[in-house]
Amino acid sequence: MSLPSLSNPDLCNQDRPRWFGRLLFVMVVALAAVFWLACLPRLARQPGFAAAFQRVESRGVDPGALFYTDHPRAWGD
Amino acid sequence: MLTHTDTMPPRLSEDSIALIIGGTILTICLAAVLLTVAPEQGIVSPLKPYLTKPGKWVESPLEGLKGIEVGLLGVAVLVGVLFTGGVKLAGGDAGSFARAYLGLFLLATLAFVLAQQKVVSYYGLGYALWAIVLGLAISNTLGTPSWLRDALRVELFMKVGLVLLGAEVLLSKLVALGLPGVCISWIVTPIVLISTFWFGQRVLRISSPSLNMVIAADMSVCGVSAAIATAAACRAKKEELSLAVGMSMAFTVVMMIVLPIVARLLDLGPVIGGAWLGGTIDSTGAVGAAGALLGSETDDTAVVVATTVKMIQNILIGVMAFGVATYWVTVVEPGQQESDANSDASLPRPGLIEIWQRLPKFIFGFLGASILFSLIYNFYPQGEEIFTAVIKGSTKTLRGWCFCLAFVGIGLQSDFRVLRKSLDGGKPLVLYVCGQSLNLVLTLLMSYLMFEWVFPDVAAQFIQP
Repeated sequence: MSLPSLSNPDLCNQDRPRWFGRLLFVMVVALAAVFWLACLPRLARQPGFAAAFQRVESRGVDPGALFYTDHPRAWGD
Repeated sequence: MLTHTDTMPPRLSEDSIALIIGGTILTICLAAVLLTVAPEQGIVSPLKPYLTKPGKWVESPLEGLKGIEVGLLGVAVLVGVLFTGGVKLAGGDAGSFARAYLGLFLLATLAFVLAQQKVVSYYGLGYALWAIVLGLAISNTLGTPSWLRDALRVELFMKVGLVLLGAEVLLSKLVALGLPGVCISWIVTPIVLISTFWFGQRVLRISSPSLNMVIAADMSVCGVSAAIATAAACRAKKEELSLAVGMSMAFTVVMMIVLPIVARLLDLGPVIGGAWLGGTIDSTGAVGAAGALLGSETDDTAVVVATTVKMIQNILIGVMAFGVATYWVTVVEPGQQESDANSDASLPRPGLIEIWQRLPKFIFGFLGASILFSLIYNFYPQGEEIFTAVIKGSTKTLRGWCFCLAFVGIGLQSDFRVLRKSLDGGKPLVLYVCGQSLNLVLTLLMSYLMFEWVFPDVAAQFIQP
């Protein structure tokens, strides 16, 4: 199978009016802002999450680690 | 494809430039430590304050950006100067790259900020995912701005990141769990990788072998880092890497919550349970979090075993990437040429010289860095401290930035509609589920075999009093 090349991103979205793309972008940004700046901080304040953060931090674990060297425990921290 | 050079007539190949940039970074970081060694004050990298990434935050992103302005500026300047030089060496327009790079760097910073929110980070949803999502959000709504395209050197960022990652692969860590760890990681993992690829090609008949291989490696080895290395080795398309990373992250969130519960229900205990988590959950970070869920407040055994098994799998990356690259240039690409030529007669298999010419050379940078830093770690006076100062203080951070810049670029060059086509009627999803099921069963059996029957003494050593 040969997928079409996307080295020219202009080819994307050419069947859509520009205003629609802008509106979509604004909506995505607004949703992301509400999620990251309001919902997630609220979730993080729940006692369950606070305990979970403490559990991984005290063990020197970074759940977002890409490689073992990203864990603080790999360095004895 | 992950190997093509988009617009410039190359003077030096992209792999050569990746080796030069990666080698330069490693040399600078190692020299900075060696030239300033002061054993009485502890060995630290003098570059550390100048190289950083956004930190964790809970309420406001500003928490993660506080006091790191110099570190961000240092990364932006060092990476910018080196890659601008690389683009110039390749015959590209260095000025256009430098201007566009600033925009790309800002997007990469934003991806890090999104990933560093503590709830997001807790579920292992790292910067790779948010970098792709951010790029996709722009390219599929506004369209990627033309001025930004000059910085989208995805393959170059990725290969330099892989060379830097090679320095973190310590060969001596292979024996960290003794023979049981080697058996779990180096017998089960290749069996699952090869079986999954075979299943995808022969049973599911996935039309893209590179997509099949990236998913198989991502699922069986160690998630995103294995996906990056394999994608570069088998020249996968950008959308294929995006799909594999997205799928891996989605399953990781589920597995890191469900598997510790299952391990408790099956009463596997912290050693066998930890080994099972370490061998099966894709993401290196989520393995640690799942181990913490399986363990208790006072018992770290599950975390230790799980993260050590995953670390041994991490060490597999170089060998796996080399194996995949060799398989690709000797078997897959000649096979594709035959089918492209639509000829019944078999084309001759490539000779050694041709294999050498076709092999992606960045892999030698990866392996070379791994061997060099393993030698320093094990044999150079104060090698462990020097290794820690170089990697923890500088190259690890730069590796993260290189990958993040690459993933933003992938998102900016991808289209949802092509991603949907890559889904190939749900076959990649079926491939992942079947491969992971095999992985879960084989890893559990091998963990039982190793820690319960063959080496029970090793398991006893890990149990904390």
